[in-house]
Amino acid sequence: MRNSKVFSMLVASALVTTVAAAGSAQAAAKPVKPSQTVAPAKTTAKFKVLNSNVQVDGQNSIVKTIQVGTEKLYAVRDLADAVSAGIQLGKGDIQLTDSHGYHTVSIRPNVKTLQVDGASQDYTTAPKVQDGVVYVELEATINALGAELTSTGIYSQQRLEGDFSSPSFNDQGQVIVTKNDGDALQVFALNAALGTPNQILTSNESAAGAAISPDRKWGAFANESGQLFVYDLANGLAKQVGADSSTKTDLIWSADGKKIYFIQGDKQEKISYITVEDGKITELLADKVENKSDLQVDATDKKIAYLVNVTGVAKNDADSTEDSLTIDYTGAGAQVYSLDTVTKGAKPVQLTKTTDNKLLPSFLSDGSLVYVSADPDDKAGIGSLKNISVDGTKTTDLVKDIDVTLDVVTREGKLIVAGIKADGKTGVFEVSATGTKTELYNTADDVSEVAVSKDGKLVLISGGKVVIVQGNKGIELTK
Amino acid sequence: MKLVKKLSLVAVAAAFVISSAGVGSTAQAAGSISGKITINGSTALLPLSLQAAKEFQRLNPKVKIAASGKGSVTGPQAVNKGIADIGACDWDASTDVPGFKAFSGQVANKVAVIPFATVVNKSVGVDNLTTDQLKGIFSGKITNWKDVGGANADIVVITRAFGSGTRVNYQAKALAGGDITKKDKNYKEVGSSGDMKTAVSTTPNSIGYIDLVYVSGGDLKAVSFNGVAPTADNVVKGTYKVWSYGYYMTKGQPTGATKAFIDYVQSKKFQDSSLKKLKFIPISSMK
Repeated sequence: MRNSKVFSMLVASALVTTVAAAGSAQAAAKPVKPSQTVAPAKTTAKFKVLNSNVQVDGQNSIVKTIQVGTEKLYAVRDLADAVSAGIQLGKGDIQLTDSHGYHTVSIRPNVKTLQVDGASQDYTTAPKVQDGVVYVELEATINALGAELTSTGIYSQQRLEGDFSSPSFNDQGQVIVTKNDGDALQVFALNAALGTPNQILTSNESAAGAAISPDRKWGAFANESGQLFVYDLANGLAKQVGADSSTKTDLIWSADGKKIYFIQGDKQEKISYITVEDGKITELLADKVENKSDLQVDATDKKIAYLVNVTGVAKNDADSTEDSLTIDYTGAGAQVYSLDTVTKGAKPVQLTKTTDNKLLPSFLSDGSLVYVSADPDDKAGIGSLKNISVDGTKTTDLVKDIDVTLDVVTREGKLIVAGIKADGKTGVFEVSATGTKTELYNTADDVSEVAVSKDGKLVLISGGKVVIVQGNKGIELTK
Repeated sequence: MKLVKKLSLVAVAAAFVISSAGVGSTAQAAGSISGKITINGSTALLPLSLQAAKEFQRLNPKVKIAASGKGSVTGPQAVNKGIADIGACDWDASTDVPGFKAFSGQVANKVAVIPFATVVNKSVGVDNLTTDQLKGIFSGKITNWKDVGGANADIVVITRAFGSGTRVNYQAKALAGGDITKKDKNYKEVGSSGDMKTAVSTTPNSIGYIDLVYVSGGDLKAVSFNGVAPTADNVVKGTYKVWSYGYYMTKGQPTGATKAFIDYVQSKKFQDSSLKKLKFIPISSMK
């Protein structure tokens, strides 16, 4: 539905059109200081004054408006209060300053031109004065203050726009997220509360998708030279750990935050860890099996799990002729392995043999493993969440009544699962050890990534946007 | 857009949030793509393909991606035979290159920049070789390290087998089109980048060539080419010339899941992050 139609319907159904009616809408509204010198009850002005509700950062505010021809104008003081902007009367003008002091706007009554940070812009309709109240166009004023006007209300702080991924939380509750579509990849810290400025945490592209430490204070990443770094999730400052330059992928922290495990080598053939304090690397596994990935460490730091991505087998003759070329893909695909890291001489144990796609393996608190299983060969089939028992001998379906697309196990041990429900919506659930699901959120949009804060707040990536869930409602932190 | 159309003056508490019955996304939903993608060819590009497959499948769990490596020429050959959807190749196989005719009807999709390096066993006391010296060594005219500034020891030439993209590029760029001559002694052919690394690392006085990504660890070292060190920076700066694009060859323009996968590999998100961590160079770096 077009915005204009949505708008018309909403206005028709919800617009508070009289001063008297404003009282009933006031209950849920954010208090706003009375407009200067306004006397709405007995106005003799040319234009009828309306009290209207405006959503600002999700809260209702009352703003006085007048209709001038086809243009609705808004009381500048009410508007300033609603977006927490400062307002001062100058010599013949009104000066607005946004709450962070980034933008200064000068407005003159009955003059179309306004000054925004020293530059001239034009209103379509000049500000009007009625009963000592100055009324201005909404969009131009909101934009001038660095706020954002949408079809559903005002964001007092412009949201970031773009394609985002790799969400996580730092220990201050900020959402750490990578912006993928700028000149370079950038990591931002977004405030979960609307109306507060966002921060570029780092423009170091290697830090995109960093592994977050258990205390949510550090992100770990390897750069293009294979060197490992940790960076402070509060200020973006990075420090190198060790000097090894071999290829490192799939970084993951130990539960105590003292070690970082990783897949190592040009062919991702080894598993090692580095001690954060001294940079010493310890090799855990070098079995010459290539193409390992998705490394996981259990809560006791005694067991690891990983995937081995088995390749197809191509054969040809010594002259590489096309006729001789054959490829056998029947054994290709990912298999889950585990390794006891405490018992000396322990060998990796293959836990799966099926040909389904195996994604996002994670340890549960009890030491069992879950992973998303999807079988492209089963046209009518749906994805499920498989559970491999602690001893590795039994694999069962933990969730199979939704089309499971992703799973996350939080630092606190909660299992979060997302999947497409029978009604076509994507649901995000907390799942118990027995498979009981509690829905936390659902949306008609896709959900590609999920993260959970230490206080249980949920953030997800939906259509490339960052959405934070409050109650069971999603608020788009980006556009 | 007029401002009145953008603002809703509502007393509906939930109006600012995406409700449970929120509007549908115009983007293709995660998981809506399904199908099978098979990739064969360059062993140099295999780690990249596997990493991209893993990330792509997280967004699209119902896409099965199976990959294999057997040398670049087998990539477009497999596409030609219809036994792979994507042929990973270290050269543009839709055009003629020395030793190989163009594969007609195939489209070359750039996915990475691959630097190649001349490598020697750590026992070799030479740190730089010129084009002429390399041509002499690989053609068999220079057989002793003392003739290029090293110790008095026979040179052991290790080369990739016919059909290797690394070999095609090395001959074209490091040897300026020169030959690699088969010899009865002090000569060995290997079938993959990994085998090359192992062979040069374990053979005293040996020389070979390899993707730069493999030059770490092991008892081998990269040597400069005409005085320029083989580094990603020097490739990007244009001073180091022994590199090529890596391509995904497809039969005609890619479609469906194959197109979506190639789009992902070419995306900024993959190119500037995972691809670089695997020590490839993003294609956008070469502008």
